[in-house]
Amino acid sequence: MRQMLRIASKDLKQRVRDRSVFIVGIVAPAMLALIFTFAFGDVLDPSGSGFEATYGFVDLDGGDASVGLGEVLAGIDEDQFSIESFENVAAAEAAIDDDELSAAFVVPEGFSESIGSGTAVLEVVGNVDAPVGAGIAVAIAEGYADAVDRVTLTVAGSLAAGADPGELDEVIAAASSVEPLGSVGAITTGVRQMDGPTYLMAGMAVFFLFFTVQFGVASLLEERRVGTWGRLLSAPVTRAQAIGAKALVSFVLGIVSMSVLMIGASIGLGADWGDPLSVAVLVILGVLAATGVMALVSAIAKTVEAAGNVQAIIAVALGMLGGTFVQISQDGGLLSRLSLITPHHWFIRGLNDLGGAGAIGDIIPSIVGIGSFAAVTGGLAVWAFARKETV
Amino acid sequence: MTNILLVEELERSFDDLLAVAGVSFFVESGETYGLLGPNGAGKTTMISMIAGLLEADRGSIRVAGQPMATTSTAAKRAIGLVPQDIAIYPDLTAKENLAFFGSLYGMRGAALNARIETVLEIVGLRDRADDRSDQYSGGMKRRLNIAVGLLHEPQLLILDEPTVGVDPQSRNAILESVEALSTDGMSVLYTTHYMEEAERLCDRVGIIDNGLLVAEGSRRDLVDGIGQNDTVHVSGTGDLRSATEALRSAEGVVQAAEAHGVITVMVDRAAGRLPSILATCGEAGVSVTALDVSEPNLEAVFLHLTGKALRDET
Repeated sequence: MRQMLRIASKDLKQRVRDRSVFIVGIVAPAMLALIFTFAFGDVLDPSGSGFEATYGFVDLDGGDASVGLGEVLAGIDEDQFSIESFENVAAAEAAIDDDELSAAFVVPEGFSESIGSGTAVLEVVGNVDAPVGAGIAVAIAEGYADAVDRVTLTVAGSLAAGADPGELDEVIAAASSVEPLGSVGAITTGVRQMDGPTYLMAGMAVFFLFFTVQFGVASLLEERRVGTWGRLLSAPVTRAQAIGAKALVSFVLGIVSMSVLMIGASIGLGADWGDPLSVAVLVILGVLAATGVMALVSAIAKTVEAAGNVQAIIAVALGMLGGTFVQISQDGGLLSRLSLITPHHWFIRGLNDLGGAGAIGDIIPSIVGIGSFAAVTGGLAVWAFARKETV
Repeated sequence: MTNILLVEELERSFDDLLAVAGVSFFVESGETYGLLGPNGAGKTTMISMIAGLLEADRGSIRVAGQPMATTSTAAKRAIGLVPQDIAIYPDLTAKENLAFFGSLYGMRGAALNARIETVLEIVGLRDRADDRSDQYSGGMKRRLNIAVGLLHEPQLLILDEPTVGVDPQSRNAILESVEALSTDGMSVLYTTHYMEEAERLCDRVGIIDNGLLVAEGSRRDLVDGIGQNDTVHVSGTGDLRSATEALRSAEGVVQAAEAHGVITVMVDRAAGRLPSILATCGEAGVSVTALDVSEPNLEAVFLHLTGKALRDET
């Protein structure tokens, strides 16, 4: 063990002196996560405090239905959405052209009277430069239209069933007060979700982890190249100790990289990773998985360059499949199933499952998923090294 | 004397290639033993097994009484390996390189620092001790390469072709260092394909070819073993033809011939025949201006034993 620590200590000194490990392990993932957050933060996190939209409301109808829509718009979150009324469509469109509005709701004349006839049209004029805000406006309009349809159907059904027309007001009130079935979260309480910036930081951290660990295990290939590997093994050191030291360096660098990024995200982005013990388990298993892959690649590759290229391909493929950029697992089909073999998927899912209030019991699937990956790749690496006799 | 290294029936193959074929030899304590052979003869494979880098297919190796294998840390402590290729960390200073390798042998603290200073002095790198080794010249790297092997005062220093690719000045410095170590009583196993180095440094030489140890002994033993004669070249003025005729019948002379103003005389032992050769020439009226004696060397021994030149690339 002492020999392992001596070799690992020397390697860490070299890596610190080299500085590239900091760029790959900390600077690059942090920078990319921040860039993505600035670029796509609104898309990833429309509920976050960073998103704001202003909508226009043009009421050319003046009927009950347009008043109802006005009440709906008045009821949405004032911190993020503001509503301005316009006298006509041209004024609203001018405001959109000036990027003052993300979208405008236009209730055409006769809208209220046409409800039930199948010809009622509620218009949304969107700003092409504000696709997210416009998309939300369309969703609000569709939601309102669905609610109106529901009431209309209820009234029609009541009359067809012989209801007293004098009681229609009560029927309408009852239909309007029916709440939707509930949120997705209420139905599938086992699945939670990180906010966008946190998700990106987690994704980038685990993605770059597979590059960071190269600085440990792959250095044995560099030692072979410069001739020090043979000299190392001619000292009172066994191959297992020397290879173990390299793996230990990968592990330490991985842990440091992940820790710095996650703690930095907590401080800088307010990320709430959840139960520290559970997060630590996920991080340790993630680093072991990355180290296992790199060890396997190093056992097979003949040069540092070859190992770096192969590891890069593996890291990108696993990262893409595992959802470090886009959550493939939500896409269904073959890619969804393939994502299950990646430690990235299980790492991110584990953090999602922790979701601030989760505990170790909530991440058992992730522990099994990443742990299995680490065990398989690590086992194969040990086997490959054992077969490789020459120095 | 005790054997610091004992190699018995060592054998190693790579697929169908028999790289080392049942080699046996020993190195006595304080002795410098040379393994002489052309490239590809099996020297480095043998060194790899002796240094614990490669397992043997058959046979045994004992270093300072300890069995050597890839996992034999006790035997490894007794050796210091100076590999053929420079094996130092380019991004570490000389001191850092030495401190790291020293720590692997359990050296630490003041003793380690003192020993580092000593070996830096031996190899002449004390002034550059705190410079990164990638800033060194090729010769300086070679010297640091040797310093690492010497650091822990091994019982057996193994030098695997340490002068390959080295400029003449550095080469001479390396050879002088090895001579000094030998004088100090360190046991040295020295592989080379340079006949001059083996002749200069080694108490005994093992000649290796195609994985076989084809001959072994002191230089003189090896030369005597092939039955070749010394050659004396006599340059001078006067009646060289008569002198040549007279030399042919002189005692100990095997053959004499004259060409281009030089008489070439083959004798069984030149050292004891020179006075009579000079006297014979004088009696024949030749004024000798130059005399050159050449003994059969290890090159000739190798040629005699294997039928090929020592420096043939294989």
